[in-house]
Amino acid sequence: MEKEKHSIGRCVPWALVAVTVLLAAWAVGETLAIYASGSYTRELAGRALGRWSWGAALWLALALGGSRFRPVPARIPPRKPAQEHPVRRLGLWRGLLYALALALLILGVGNQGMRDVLVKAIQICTECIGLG
Amino acid sequence: MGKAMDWLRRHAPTRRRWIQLYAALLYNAHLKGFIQGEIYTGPMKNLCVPGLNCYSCPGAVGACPLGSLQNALAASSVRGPWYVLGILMLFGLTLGRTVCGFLCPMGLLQELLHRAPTPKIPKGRITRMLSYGKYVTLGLLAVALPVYFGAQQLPLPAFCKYVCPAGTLEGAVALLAHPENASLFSMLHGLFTQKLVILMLLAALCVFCYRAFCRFLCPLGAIYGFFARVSLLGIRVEEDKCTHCGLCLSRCPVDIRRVGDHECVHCGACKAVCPTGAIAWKGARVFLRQQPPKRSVPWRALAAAGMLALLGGTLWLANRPAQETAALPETVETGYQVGMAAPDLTVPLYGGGEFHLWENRGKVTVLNFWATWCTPCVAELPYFDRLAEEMGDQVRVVAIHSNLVTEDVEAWLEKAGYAHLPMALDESGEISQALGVSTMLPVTVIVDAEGRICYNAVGSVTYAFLLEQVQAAQ
Repeated sequence: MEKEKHSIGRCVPWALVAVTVLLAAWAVGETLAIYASGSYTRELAGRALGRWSWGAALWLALALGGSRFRPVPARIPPRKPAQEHPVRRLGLWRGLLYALALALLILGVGNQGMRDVLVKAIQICTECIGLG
Repeated sequence: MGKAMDWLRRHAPTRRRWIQLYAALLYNAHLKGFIQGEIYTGPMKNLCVPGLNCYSCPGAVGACPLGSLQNALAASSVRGPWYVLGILMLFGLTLGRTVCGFLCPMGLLQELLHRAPTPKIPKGRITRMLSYGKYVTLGLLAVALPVYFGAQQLPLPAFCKYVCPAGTLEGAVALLAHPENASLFSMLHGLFTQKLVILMLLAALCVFCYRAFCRFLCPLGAIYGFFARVSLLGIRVEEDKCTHCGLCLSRCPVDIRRVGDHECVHCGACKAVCPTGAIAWKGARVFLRQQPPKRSVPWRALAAAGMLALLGGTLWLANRPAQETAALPETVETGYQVGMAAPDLTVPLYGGGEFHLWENRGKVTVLNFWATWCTPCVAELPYFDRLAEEMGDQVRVVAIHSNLVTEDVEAWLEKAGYAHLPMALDESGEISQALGVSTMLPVTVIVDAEGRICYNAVGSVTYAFLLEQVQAAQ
């Protein structure tokens, strides 16, 4: 198998974009927490967003560093033989899952879940659109 | 003329693009909403649409599956989220991520942005790693946070609230663009700024990176990706014809490892480059007859007629003139706007007794319209409870639940334990209608001692703000 040449230069623009987005997420998270105005939920969410962005930055840095040492095969390995996923077994799974989906739908209509969807959908979700 | 026709022929939308446009129009068939600045409140919103389309968009005729999932999970301590799960399973089994490639308005917008003539960021190992970010978004923002906070009686659709660009663009921007909704500008705070920044960043990223939101953040794509192997429709490889040349993978704009896997949006770009014709649509034998027999039912014509009928029917249902509403009772003669005399209202209280607005003349009255399923409403209830506790001798405070009830409000109130705040239920919706409460919550109405409305607005309030308004009314 040929080994693909690695170019750290190709990673740089992506790294810059990722770091910028993560720093922005951290800043937004911390700002949210500071201006939480006594709301525990907002403060918690803000802190979580801030912490998550640092975690994601660390993960990304490790992945970028580690990616240099993993070769990528030039040719794609052949797929597993079709016998492992015969059509009949797939059809059976589909049938079972469809039956499950229909059962969930009927249950959901029966326990007023459909009405809950309607109730939320016919009201403007002010927080979903960022209006408070 | 010839050059123009040639240009049109070369730049004509593909079939997939036409289907995307059709889906976007079908989901947002309430065209009257864009003209009037109001959302659709009809029965079609019982159903979820397959793609990401905010239900607060003035044109939306169906519910958003992702928003509905988060709300259902937030209420899962009261009622199982079976309906939304069933709908998502049905869409996943039938369409899989074909929804992303054909039926999602956000996907369409991203593809249109990507057509800008700029340098493009190619896919690679980094984008492949970032593509797992949507599973993090699904698990954390769309599932864990709503369930966790919902269990504490604080419904929090975290993805919708903090990230979703569809809500910002289709909901906020579409509503704010209408002059009738100018009052909403007063509700813009840090949250809107945050969401607008996210929208701008994603839009900019989509110009350089194909479908950046779909690939890296969209929880709905993550959900549909689980059904990649079992979905009825989509793209697949015929193993007996495949020579494993890898042209399909190199041509594919997203981060697939195999055609038709959980990352594939079934755009069909690989199908055009396969040298052996090994890539085909699932269900092609049923849905795409290459050589129709001589005497056959014209399935394509029937399908096209069916789609047109569906679109026409949806447009008619969503935009027909509204039925006349029943006349308000004579007691509600005055009005709900600031400066008008408030109408006399009587509403039964939880725990017994009634509240009569006119009986409280001589005192400032604060009415708060709320609902258990409305997060900002629930978050501000403690302020009204505190107001009732500290200024109960000077101010009468009542919290009135919307007529749209999704759970046992009494049981909810018992658990919440607001000891000082009288609670009422507007069962018929007449109180809300009389005071101009429309499709948004929370609403706070303040009536001064002489019975005149001095504050009536949508949006969350803080305790300090309430105090200021009450003092101004005294």
